[in-house]
Amino acid sequence: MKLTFNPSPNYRNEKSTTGIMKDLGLCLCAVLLYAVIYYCAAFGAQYGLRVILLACDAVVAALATDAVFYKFAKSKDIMKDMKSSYSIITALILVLISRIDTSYFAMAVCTVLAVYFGKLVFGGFGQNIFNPAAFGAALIMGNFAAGYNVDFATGATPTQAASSIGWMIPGGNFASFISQYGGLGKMFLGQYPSTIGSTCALLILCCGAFLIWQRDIDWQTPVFYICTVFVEALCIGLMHGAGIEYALFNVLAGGILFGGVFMATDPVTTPVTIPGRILWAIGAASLTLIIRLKANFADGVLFAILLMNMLTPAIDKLFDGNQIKDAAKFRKTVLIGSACFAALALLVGTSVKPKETAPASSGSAPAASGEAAAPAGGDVNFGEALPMTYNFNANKASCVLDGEENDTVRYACKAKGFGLVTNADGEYEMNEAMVVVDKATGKVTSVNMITFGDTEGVGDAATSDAALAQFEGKGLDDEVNLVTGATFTTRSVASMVQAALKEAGAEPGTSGETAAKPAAADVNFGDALPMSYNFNANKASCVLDGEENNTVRYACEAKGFGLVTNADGEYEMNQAMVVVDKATGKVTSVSMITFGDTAGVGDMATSDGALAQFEGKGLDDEVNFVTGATFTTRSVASMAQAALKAAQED
Amino acid sequence: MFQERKGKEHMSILTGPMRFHLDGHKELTAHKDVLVLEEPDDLYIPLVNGRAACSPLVKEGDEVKVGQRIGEPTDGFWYVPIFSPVSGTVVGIEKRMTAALKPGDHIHIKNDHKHSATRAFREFDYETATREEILDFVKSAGMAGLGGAGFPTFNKYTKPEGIDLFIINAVECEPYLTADYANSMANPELMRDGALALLKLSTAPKGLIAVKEDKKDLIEVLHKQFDGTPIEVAEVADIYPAGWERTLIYMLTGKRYDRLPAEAGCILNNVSTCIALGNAMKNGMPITAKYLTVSGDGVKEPQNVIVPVGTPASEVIRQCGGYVGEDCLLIAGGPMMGRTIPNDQFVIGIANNGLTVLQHREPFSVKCLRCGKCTETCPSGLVPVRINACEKIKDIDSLKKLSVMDCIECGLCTYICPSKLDVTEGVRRAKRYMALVK
Repeated sequence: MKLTFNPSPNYRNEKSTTGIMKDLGLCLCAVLLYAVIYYCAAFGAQYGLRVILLACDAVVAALATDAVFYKFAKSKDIMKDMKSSYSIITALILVLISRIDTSYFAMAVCTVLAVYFGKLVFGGFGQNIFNPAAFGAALIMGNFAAGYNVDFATGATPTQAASSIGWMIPGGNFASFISQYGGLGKMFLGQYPSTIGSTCALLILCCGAFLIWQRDIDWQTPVFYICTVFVEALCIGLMHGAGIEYALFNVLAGGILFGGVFMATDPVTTPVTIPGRILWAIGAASLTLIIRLKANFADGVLFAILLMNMLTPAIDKLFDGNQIKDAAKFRKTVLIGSACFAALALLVGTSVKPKETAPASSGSAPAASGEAAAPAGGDVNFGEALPMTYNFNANKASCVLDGEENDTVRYACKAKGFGLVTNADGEYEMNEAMVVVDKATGKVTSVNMITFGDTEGVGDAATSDAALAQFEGKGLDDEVNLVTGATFTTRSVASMVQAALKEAGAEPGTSGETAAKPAAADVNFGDALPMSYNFNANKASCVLDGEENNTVRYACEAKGFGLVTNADGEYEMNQAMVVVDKATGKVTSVSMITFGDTAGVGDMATSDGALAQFEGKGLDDEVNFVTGATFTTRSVASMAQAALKAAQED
Repeated sequence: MFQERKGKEHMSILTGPMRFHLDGHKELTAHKDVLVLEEPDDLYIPLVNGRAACSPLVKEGDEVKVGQRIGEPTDGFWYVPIFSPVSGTVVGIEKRMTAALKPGDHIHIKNDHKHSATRAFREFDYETATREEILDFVKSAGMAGLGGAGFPTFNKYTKPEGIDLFIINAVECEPYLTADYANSMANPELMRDGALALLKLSTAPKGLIAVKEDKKDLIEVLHKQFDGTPIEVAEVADIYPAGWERTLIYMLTGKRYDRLPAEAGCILNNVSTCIALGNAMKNGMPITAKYLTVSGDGVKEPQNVIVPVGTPASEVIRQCGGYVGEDCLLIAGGPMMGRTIPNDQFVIGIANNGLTVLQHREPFSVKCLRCGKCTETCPSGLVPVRINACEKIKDIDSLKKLSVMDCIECGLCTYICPSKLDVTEGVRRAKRYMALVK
C-alpha cells in the first residue's frame, strides 16, 4: 500500500483529446460515406470506389509518414506517439477537400507533405502553425495541378464556374446560374460534383451541430465564420443588384461550410480565447470573400484559413489578460478588428465587376495557320476557341430555307441553348436565329437573333451584335470563340450556324487549304487536340524510312493506352508510318503498322476515317479526339507530331 | 433581488460559462448514517489553525477536560484559540508532520475516555446581546471559516460598512464532500441560531442561504427553519465552483468585485461556521469535533463521520475499513482543491471537512491542443493555456498581463483538460515564479 503525491486537482473529466478526435473522425467518415454514395449514384461505381481508394491512400500515407518520422526521431514509444499524432484526421480532411480527379500519386505525396511539413517538423500535434490539411491541399493546388486525372472529369465545380465569371453575374440574375447545380435546394443536399466532401450542406451542418453538442468544438468559430460570409456576401450582392440567392450561393458553394465546421475549428491553429476566435472567424470569412472576388483561386477558404493561421499568435497576444476585468477592452478590440476586416471585404466588394479579362485569342493556344478569328466586339469577352466542326448534336439545331438570291441563302434556324440542362422549373425555350450564308464561298454572311430563349442577363452576352459578328466570314473549317459566361448560348448559336452551313452544302475542307478531309462515317470526333500538344508521356520516336523529292516517310512508334498501368502487364506500343511533305510542313498520310491498344476501344482512332483527319495538318493545326479512344488518338497524334518535327529538323 | 437572478446564466458571448457541472459522487456518502468515530487514545492538537499560531496554555502532565482552553493565539488578527477535544492528560508538545507537509508543534493529549467536560462559555442569547457582545463572543469562541480556509470569523465583522446582504454558503461544491450537508441535516436549529446571530453581526437587512438546487431534502429543512426570518433560501445551480465566494456572489447578485466581498456589499460565511456558533451559544462548547466526509474509490466504507479534532487521518481511514487498492491518493478535502498527502499521520484540524481517497491512475496525456476549454471554464476569467505557455519560456511581461495572481487554484482547468495535462500546476508554477521576481 502506497500513498502517492500528485498536485491537485485529482479529478478529471471523461472527455479526452482522443475522444474529440474520434468524434471528428466519425463525422469525417459520415461525410466521406455520403460522397461515396453520391458518386456511385451519379457517376458510377468506379467513381465511388475511387473516393474510398483515395481515402485509403491518404490514410496509409499519413500513418506511414508518422511511423517513419517517429522511427527516425528515435521515439521511445512509437505507438503512443502515433496515437497522439491524429494524422488520420489530417488525411481524411485532405481527401475531402480534394477533387475526385486528383491522382493517387498526388494525394499520397500531398498527405506526406501535409503530415511531415505541416505538422511533424513543428514538433508534432499541438505545435503546428498551419492547419496541416489546408497546407497539403494548398500544395495540391499550387504544385500538383498536373496530378488531376483527366479521365475523371466531372465538370467544373460551382466555385470554378463562379470564379470564371468573377463571382458576379451581370444584372444579378443568379437563379439560372445556380440551376446548373440543380438550384439552391440541390446544392443544400449536395447533389453536384465539387471537392469530394464539401457538397452536402445538410450533412456538414448536422456534423457541426453534433460536434458542438459534444463540446468537441466551440460554437463561436463556425457560426461567426459562416454568418460573416453570408452577411458580407449579401451586402456585396446588394451593391450589385444581386439578391439573397447570391449570399446563399456563396455560403453553399465551395468549402465555406466544410471549412467552417472542420478546419476553422482546428484548435491547434486558431486562437485560444473566445473573443480571439470570433475575431479570427470574422477575419477568415472576410479574407475568403476577398480571395474569391479578387484572386486567381477558384475558392478562398483554404488560403483564408492559412493566412489567418499566421495571425493566430498575434490574436492570442491581443487577448492576453483577465476576461472579467478586461472585458470592456476585449469587446472593443473585437469590434474594431471585425469592423476593419468587414470594411476591407466590402471595399473589395464594391470594386468587383463581372470578369472582363480572358482575351479572344487565349495565350496558350497555338497561332492558327489559317484565318484569324474575327476581332471581338466592344464589350463581349471571348474565351476558349470553338471549332465550327464541333459536334453540336445535343443542341438539336435545325434550319429551314427562308429565302435565296443568287448565291446568298437565308435560313431560319433554331436550336436548344441552356435548355440542354434539365431544369426543375421546366424547359427553356429554343433559341431562334436567321443565318445568311454565301453558297459560293461556304462562309457566313450574317447572323441575327429572332428569339432568345435562354436566361436574360447571362446568356444574352452571346447574342449581342459584337458576339454575333464573330461568325461573319466563317466557314465550317474555321473556329469561333466561346463568349465568357455564356457558354451554352454561344454553342447554341454556333450550332445553328453549323446547321445552316451544312444545309447550304458547305463541306469542311472545301474552302480552306489546310482543311481536314471529311471524317469517315462511323467515327465520332470529340474535343479538339492541337498538334502542338505536349505528348511527352507518349514517348513517340520516328526513324527515317524513305525519302523522295520533298516527301519523307517515317516509321514511328509511341505508347498508347500503355501509359496506364495495367494489371495484366504493359500494353504494346503503337506503330505507324507517317508521310510528311517537307515543303509545306504538313502531313500527307498516316497509316498504322501495329496497333497495341485495346481492340474494340482504341481502334476507332486508327480507322481510315480517323487517320484521314491528320492529312494536310501541320504543327499549328488541330485535330479532334475520337470519342471513346482518347488515348489512342493522342498516341497517333504524338507520332504525327514527332514525324513533323523530324521533317522540320532535316 | 435574488429571484430575478435565479438560474440566470452568465450571458456574454465573448466568454465561456466560467463554470462547469461535474459529477459530485455525493451519493456515496450523503444518505448514509453518520458514524460517530471511536475516540483514539492519542490526540494531537495542532498549535496552528490555518495561519493562526497559538502558544500552549498547558504543560506536560496537566489534566485537561473537553472544551478547556489549551492554546492562546499569539496574533490579534489571526485569532483562533484552541480547545481540548477530549479529556485526559497532556503528554507534551510534539513535532508532527502537518497537512501542509511541514513539521509543526502539536499538543499531545492522552485520552482518558471519561468525557469529563467543562463548559467553555456561559449561555449566550444573541437576540438580547449587542453587536459588540456578539463580536466578542465569536472571537473568543474560536470561530473560523470552516469551509476550508480557516479565516477567523470575527475579522469579517469588525467594521461592516455598506453591507446589504449576508450570505450563508451551504453550497458545498467540492465533489465527494457531504459533511456540510450531513451537519446541516442533523443540526438545523443550531444553524438557524448561528445564522441569525451572524446576520445581526453583519448589519445587513437581509440574508440568503445558498444551497444547490439538487439537495431537495435540505432545501425543505432550510425553508422550515428560515421562513419567517430575514433569511431567504436561495437555490443555485449544481456547478463548480458555485461555493467560491466570487462565483456565488455573482450568481446571487450579478456583481463582480475586486478584492473583498464587502465591495459588493456582501459578507459570506460557511454553514458549518453557523452551526458551530449556534452550538457555542446554546451548549457553550467550542469546536471539538468535526463532521468529516470520508469518501472515494480508495476507501472501503465511504461515509460521514464525526471525529474529534486532533485525530490522525490514519485512524479515521482505519475505522472506515481501510484503503482499497495498492496505490492511493489521500486528499485532505475534496479532489479539486484538496492536497494529496503522501503520509496519513497528519491530524484532522478544525477547518478539515473531508478525506478523499482515490485509487491512483496515471492518465493518458497528450500535448496541449489549445482547445481553450480551460479558458472557457476558468471562474477567474484567466487563460490558463497561455499562462502555461508563457511560464515555460518565463515571459514575465505576458504573465503580468495574464493576471496570474488572480488564480485561486480551483483546479477546473486541469479537470476539463482533454489532453490530461496538469494545467493548474503550471499556473501554480507561474504564480510562484511571479512571486519570486516581484
